[in-house]
Amino acid sequence: MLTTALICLPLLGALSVFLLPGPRMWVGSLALFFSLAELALWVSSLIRFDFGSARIQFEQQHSWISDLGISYHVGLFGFSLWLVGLTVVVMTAAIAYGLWSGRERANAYYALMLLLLAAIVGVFTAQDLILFYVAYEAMMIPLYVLIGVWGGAGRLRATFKFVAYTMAGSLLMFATIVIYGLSHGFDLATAQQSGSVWLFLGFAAAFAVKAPLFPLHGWLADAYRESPPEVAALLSGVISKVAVFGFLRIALTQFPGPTHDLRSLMLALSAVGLVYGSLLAFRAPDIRGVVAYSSLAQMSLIGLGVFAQNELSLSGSVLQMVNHGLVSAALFLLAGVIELRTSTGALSRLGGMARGRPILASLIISIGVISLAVPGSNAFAGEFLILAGVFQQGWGWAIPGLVAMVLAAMYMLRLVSALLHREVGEAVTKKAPDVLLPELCVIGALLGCMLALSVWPAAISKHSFACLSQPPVTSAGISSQSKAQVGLACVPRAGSTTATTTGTAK
Amino acid sequence: MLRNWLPFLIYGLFASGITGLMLFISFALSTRARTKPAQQGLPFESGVSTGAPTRQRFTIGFYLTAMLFILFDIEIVFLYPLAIVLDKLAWFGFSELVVFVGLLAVAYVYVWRKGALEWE
Amino acid sequence: MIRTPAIDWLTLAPSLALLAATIASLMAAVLVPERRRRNVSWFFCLAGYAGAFAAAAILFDRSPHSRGVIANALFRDRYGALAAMIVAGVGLLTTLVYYGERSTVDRVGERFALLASAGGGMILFAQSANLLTLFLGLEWLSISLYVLCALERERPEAIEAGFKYLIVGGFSSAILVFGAAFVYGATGTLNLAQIAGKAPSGDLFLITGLAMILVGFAFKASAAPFHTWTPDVYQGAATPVSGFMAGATKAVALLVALRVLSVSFSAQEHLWTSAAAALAVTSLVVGNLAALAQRDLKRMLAYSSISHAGFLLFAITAASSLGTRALLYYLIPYGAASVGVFALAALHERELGEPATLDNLAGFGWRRPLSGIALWIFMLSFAGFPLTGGFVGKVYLFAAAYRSGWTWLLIVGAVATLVSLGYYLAVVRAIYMRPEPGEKAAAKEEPPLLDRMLSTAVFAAVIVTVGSFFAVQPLIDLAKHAASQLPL
Repeated sequence: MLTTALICLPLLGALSVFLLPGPRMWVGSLALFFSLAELALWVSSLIRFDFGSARIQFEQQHSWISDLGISYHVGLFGFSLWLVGLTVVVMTAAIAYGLWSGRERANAYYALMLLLLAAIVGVFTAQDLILFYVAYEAMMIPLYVLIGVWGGAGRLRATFKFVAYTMAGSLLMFATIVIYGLSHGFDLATAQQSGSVWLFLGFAAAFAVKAPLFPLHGWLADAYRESPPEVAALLSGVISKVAVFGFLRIALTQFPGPTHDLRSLMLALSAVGLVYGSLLAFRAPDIRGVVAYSSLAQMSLIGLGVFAQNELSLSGSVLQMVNHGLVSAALFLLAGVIELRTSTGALSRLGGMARGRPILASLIISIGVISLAVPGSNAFAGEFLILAGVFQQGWGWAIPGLVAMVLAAMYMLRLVSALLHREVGEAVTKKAPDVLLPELCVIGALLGCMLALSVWPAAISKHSFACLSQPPVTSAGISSQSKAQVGLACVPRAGSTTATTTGTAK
Repeated sequence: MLRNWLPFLIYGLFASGITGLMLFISFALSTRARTKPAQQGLPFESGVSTGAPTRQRFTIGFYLTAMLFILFDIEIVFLYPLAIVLDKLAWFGFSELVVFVGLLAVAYVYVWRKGALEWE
Repeated sequence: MIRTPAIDWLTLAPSLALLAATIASLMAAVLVPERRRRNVSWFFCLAGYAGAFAAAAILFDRSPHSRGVIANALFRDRYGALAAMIVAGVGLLTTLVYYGERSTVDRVGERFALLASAGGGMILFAQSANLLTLFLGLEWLSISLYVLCALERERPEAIEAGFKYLIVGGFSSAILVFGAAFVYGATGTLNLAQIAGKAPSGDLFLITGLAMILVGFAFKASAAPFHTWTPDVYQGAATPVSGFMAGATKAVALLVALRVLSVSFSAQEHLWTSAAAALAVTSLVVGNLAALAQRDLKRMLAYSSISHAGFLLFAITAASSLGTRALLYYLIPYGAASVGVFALAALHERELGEPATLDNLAGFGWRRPLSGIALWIFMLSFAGFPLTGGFVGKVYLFAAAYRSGWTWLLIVGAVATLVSLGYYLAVVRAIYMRPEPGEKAAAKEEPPLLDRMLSTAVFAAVIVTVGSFFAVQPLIDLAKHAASQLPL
């Protein structure tokens, strides 16, 4: 019931926000209220969650299309709980930011945001392939309009690219799901594993576009640049994680054989993307470009961790997913804050913003430092775990990671200096104020989450893969097939489910 | 042999007789110029001689009436076979006939009220 | 004594209800005073469709076993009854939409008579159990539609639509009846159930007949390459009528095609499944590519309906019980969305006084928030996005194609869906993302044109489109009962 409530509460919110008349602030506050209620709901599920158990928790199952064995089956387990949390936190921040920046056509805007929230939560909780696809596609519906209506000048082009890329991937996945589901079963908790490389690629292509991984990132820059800042925050912070979640939950779990066979390819793509994204970020001409390409690099790093497929790297990946979600959301919101004051994001026209704006400077520097993974930060913990895991897989793969860490420092420091230091840019007027209280609250809250994770990264890295010790099974029945479900996402081979240690903290 | 085909022969005779009669009557009753056509008296110059216009134009109302007539006429023809077997079909046939005529009546009322039968 | 067949009145009831409605509204069109004419004939038409729906529902309930009735002229079965329910449902919504369509006063009653008549013909067509009643139903529905298309003869496009439809439709009927003649020549029977097994399966006449019958159905279902009439007719006909043709005519054409093929030509299954696959791929290619280039909304929807014919032909290609269920299921949200989207096009036309195009739709979603969302939902349903019945339908169709071994059709279908997003999302882009032209901003001040009937129809269509996504099971049960009566 709790999971269903997590999905339905934002839906209810979307409906009421859309239908209730009222002034813009009132509508926005209502939306914020709903997202805060969702946050409270998530916290209560966090408290009641049993991390020791590998079962799917708060599970609910209803027959839906019984003819094909498709059901409404939702539940939470290990890392999906954390990703739902990330979603809710980032969405709350995004809605609060939208409320502050005063979006036009408030009813539609907030309704779509809440609809998006419901869809993302749906993706993370779905335990049935068709339901997963439903939520996965349902994300596109509000996103398309959110970017296309409230986006920047080049928004139509951006939406076109975005839709063309992601839908090409996901329609391929749709055909794959139908084929896979009919031959192996639609329910993820009981579906049999498959050894088909083609089916694996069908899933992998969709997720690789969404993440994005290296050759399929063509939509990324436009979409991240033209979206409203809070939507860009969601895109890079949360929606890219959906793709990694898909890899973990479906592509790797259900296709152990193809994953093993294609590991080198996927690792290579990730490694290339990591270095390539870092280089692009280094020479991007605007704030959002830097954040967007750093996002590509980070997702590739996470991909590296996912495909290295051992306990360390997987735990690190999950931790890094949450870290990067928070960091990039905060960075995009900061980009929005700066664009609001200077009406440009071009680095050549910015600079010297630190003078007289201490809060802005502190926020940018602290988030920037976290994002380049300074030791002691949560991002460091994540990256360290990933690289340690990748090193176990093959030391050669860790080299691009190390290169990228250096590059990350370079592009992030370039961004910081271009924004804060140097001479005052032409677009920066004296009147442009420092970060105001509402903005500080939003971004500060995200920063607070990062700091909390810096203090205790093991909260996530040690509590994501209970399946390492025992596989999650449905409450309906324990079958030997389901033994390997999420467990296989944690360990490369079915035989080694005996491994009991979760990721080692730094 | 002849016995079997006699009705057809009679039918054929009637058909050709009626057609012939119609042709003859229209020929006999029509009014023509007593004198020979004027062109025959003219000296031939050149080109194609212009006869009477081949396309005769009727008023549109004529087509409408003719079309409606044909429709109802053909429908009514269906009553003949029904009439022949009516005694065998008994009440069932009668009710079919009533439905059929009823449908025709509906169409007739529509056509009538619509003013299609008015001659303007 | 001639043995007269026993009349099964319940089987006839749906089409008789609509025949009665036809007569009543036709009489109302001439006998009722002019100012109440529209209301009275509209009411008869509505009542006729409601009655037909109820009768079809009762027929569905009371026909657990398929059998031929009235001297084997009609099937009394759930398949036909469900088809009748779909037709009656679509007709009911169309009647609501048609109420407010502007026209010259002197033909306001006839349109409802013709609408009811077309529905009656479709139901007879769907129930027919031999090639003769099949042709009778086909002509009944076709002639009604020809006239309905050309009814507003002041508009040259309407005349063009009616004329093209008449010529092409007549041609296709001729091909179908010619095919039926071949089949009769080969088998000596017109009865659908007896055709199978009467002639060797490779009989040349039989196969020629099969091919010609298939072509006739493809014309009616507007599957490429027999689609050429569709854009002009959909564009020229009154907008609600286009919706009716997209939702109902296509539905019965495909349903009857599936019935005839499975009942009469089971021995030639390998032939007609391949033919259906070819038709499906052609329709998907032609429909999708041509739709991308359209600016006129109705023309675009016409090409979209061609591409949908392609998707629906997956079900015939599958030639399985699952395929039949998929077809029956998909037609429900598809029919609702068709009527709904054409209703919104009609709304827009009435507001503007000119045909709806992607350009003049700019700002529609903001001017009319609820209608905008409805249009959005219909587009998503056509595109097979989740949260609409179109998605479940597509899952079903793809599943059916895969189960029958047509895996490559899934890839074609996925690519076609991707291309189709280009024009479906173009509508969403137009109504939300394009700035309203300046002159339209003035029109904003005018009091909104509210048509309660049309709004009701759109609302109902939205309910069906979205509801069929969530409440799949009851619809599947209906489809399952109906599909089990076909020999597949």
